[in-house]
Amino acid sequence: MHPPAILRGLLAASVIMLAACGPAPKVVSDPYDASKIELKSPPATLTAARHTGPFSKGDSLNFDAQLKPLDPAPIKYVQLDTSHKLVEIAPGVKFSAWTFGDQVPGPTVRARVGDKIHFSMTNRSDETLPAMSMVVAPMMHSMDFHAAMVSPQDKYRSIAPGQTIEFEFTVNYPGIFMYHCGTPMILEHIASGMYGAVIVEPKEGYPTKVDHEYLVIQSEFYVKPDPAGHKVDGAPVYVLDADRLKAAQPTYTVFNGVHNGMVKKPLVAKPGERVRLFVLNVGPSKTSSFHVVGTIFDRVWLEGNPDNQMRGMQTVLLGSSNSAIVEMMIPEAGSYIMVDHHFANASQGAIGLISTLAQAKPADLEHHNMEASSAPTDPKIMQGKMAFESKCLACHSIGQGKKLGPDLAGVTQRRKDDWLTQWLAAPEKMLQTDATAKALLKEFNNIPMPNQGLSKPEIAQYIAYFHWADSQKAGAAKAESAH
Amino acid sequence: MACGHCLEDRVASVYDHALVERSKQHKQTLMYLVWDGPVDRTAATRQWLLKTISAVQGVVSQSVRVSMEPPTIALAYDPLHTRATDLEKALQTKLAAKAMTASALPM
Repeated sequence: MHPPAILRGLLAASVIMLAACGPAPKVVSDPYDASKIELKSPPATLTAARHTGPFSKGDSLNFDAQLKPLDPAPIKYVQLDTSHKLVEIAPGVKFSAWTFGDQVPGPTVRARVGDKIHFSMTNRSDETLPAMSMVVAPMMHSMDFHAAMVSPQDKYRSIAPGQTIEFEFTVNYPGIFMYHCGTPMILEHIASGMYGAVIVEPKEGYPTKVDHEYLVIQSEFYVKPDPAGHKVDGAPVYVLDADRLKAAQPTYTVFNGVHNGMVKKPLVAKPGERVRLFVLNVGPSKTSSFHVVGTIFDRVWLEGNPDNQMRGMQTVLLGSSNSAIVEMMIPEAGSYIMVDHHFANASQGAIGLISTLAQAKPADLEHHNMEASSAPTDPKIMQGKMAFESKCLACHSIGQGKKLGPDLAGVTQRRKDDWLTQWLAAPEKMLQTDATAKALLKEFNNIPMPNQGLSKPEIAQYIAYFHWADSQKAGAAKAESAH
Repeated sequence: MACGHCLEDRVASVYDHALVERSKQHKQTLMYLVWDGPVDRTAATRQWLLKTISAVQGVVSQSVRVSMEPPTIALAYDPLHTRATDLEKALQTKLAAKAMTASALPM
């Protein structure tokens, strides 16, 4: 039986139309298809049996910037216990931190798409040293893995000191994922140090080959000397500054937990080598414009997923909990400076080096960063330093040369305290009557020093800080010949 | 996490390890409650809650903890002398003076 002529005609027309459309589109398999994603995980278990010994265990764990190759085991057993301890975030600044795995940032988990993570955590915040117990009390903590797809009410519940939670999940997407404590007040828990990264490689590995892989985690610290004046081993303890935290005014912005840490211990690479950086901006409240001076990011995989590729980028913008893999060539011998190109953040310590030299030289730094070779310990001076770094660095430096205003290195030798006090209290009045003030205005392009509305105690803190800076060894605060 | 609605989040917001240890030692029970009402979440409200709840019969002296966000209360009582339901009712009566409510969290 043949179809009627009209149907035959329609059939022929359809064939012609299909032929005009070219070859049928190739069906591309979606690696994130729901059928390929494992969403099942057994319920979490909660017990009173506590871990003892090391605060972290697992073959997939990495403890610093240098990353080990992937552990091939399909199930990663990861133990990250919580602890409260002092960590030195800048020279002389021992901060009362809350941690995963007894370090800040916590150890990095490295896995591959399809792997299972079997996680266990004991809240060991009640195991602090007696000296620390005066500063911080044991408290509830929890774990929130951004790499997981699970019920938060089941897996991410807060547990009390002495309790242990265990759960398992499958990593379905490649990327660099943050983990953090999610217990209220969450901002305080993250700002106190409870965060880290999970690196998930694509199932087939990365599409490029590199010579080095390093991790860079940016985060902020908001600290002040303990108001109760507690000391550990004779040194003042620094605690979380809740006011600065809520106002998003960090004291330090750092890479891998330490102010200028990777300046003193640069990442190593040779000319012609290709470097892969896994970059995570923890925040909790600042954005990072991550940049490496002297090279261009050949490839950027946003969130650490090669499906999100960009080429030839100078900077990658990362909000809180955003990440990226950046790959670059090291073109020639030198020190390549990693910075947050929001230079207010860089000046607070978000700086590091990738160096072809054995030892990095301070001179390799751009003029955006304050030397951190020493830090004041007197609370009054520390307050002055923090105020200076948050309010004055846009216009002034200490030992780094003139900016919109004078370099303040040596200012206490050039001016008397009375003059400085009057100047800081009411610069507009001084500009009317004082010859030195008038000369300064002329020298600095008629840009007047603004009245900051400082109180007497604040002015005293600034001056104490200037005296301290001027008492540091030569080179720590290089004076510019000015007024 | 930290949505503030989960039971553990609320407990965490008023968790005091020393109080937990002391209550265990004295065989006291800890009660956690959610509070609500048309009041400003200010230090003055917190003070009023602390004072009012501490004055309720059966509440162990110095055991009251108040969180404004999430709005949660913790207190200790002696189960040999006070029933949890009676204590909850007494608290509700006191908080009703400011049109506030309190209900115990299931533990």
